[in-house]
Amino acid sequence: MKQPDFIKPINDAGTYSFKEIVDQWQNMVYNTALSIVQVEADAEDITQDVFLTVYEKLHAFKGESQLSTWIYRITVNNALDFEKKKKRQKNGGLIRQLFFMKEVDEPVNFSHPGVLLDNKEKATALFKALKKLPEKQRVAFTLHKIEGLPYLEIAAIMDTSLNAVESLIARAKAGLKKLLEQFYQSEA
Amino acid sequence: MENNKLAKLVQETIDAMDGAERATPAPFLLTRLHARLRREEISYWERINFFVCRPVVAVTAVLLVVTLNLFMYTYNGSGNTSTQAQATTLATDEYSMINPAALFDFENTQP
Repeated sequence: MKQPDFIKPINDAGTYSFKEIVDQWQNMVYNTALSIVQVEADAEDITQDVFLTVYEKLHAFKGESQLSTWIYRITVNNALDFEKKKKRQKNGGLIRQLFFMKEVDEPVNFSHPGVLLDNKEKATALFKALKKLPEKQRVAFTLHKIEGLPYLEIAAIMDTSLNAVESLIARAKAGLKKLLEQFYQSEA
Repeated sequence: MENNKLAKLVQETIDAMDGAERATPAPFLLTRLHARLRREEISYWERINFFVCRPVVAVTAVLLVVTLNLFMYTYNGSGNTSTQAQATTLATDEYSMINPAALFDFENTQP
């Protein structure tokens, strides 16, 4: 059986080998996916899906954007699609949603493995609140706060303008403030 | 809870991921990717094999071959004579099966 060659360059320019790409970007892809889906096993699956997509499509990558931007875009799209698919499966289809009781999608407590010990509880509360934000706000906030990306790169990843990213992050912060205030007041 | 204290706590929560390390996937990701690529390749051929081996497909294929054979046999049997004659004419045309003597030019005897 023909074995895929992970060493030889796989894009037309001959610049990237798949092994180098996986070595360099695996943490970035996994961390982004994990921050969005908040389940480690799902993030592992998404990471594999992302790299398989990269393996299949890298030959067509023309270098119009940075490679990292392209991989981030694939990661975000895959993670959001995965989440939607999972939600659909959980809700059990349109008919059930329309005619029967609609399940409330209550976020589970997620603890990010990279967070400092002192901030564990706060990070858990943050991720819980993040799940309740609209999709675009959540992605923009995650890429900025967790991945530490500048607004310009986020705009390129999300295929939107710089102003839109600024607005999304501002609204995300306002939304989080509101949600967290409610959370802490209910805790007190 | 006091407003200032609450606002501070909320802000600290929003900044809770500052300084956090990146999460890392389980080791040997490349090996797992390799295995998955192989598995997908195998499952592709398995799917083709499964489709071809389905009784409906196999019986349909056999019936098609038998029908084609019957059709060809019937068609060839009815038009046998004319086909042969036509074939002879075509062969004559194709290989220029004419009298070789007619090809010599008697007026120019020099080579």
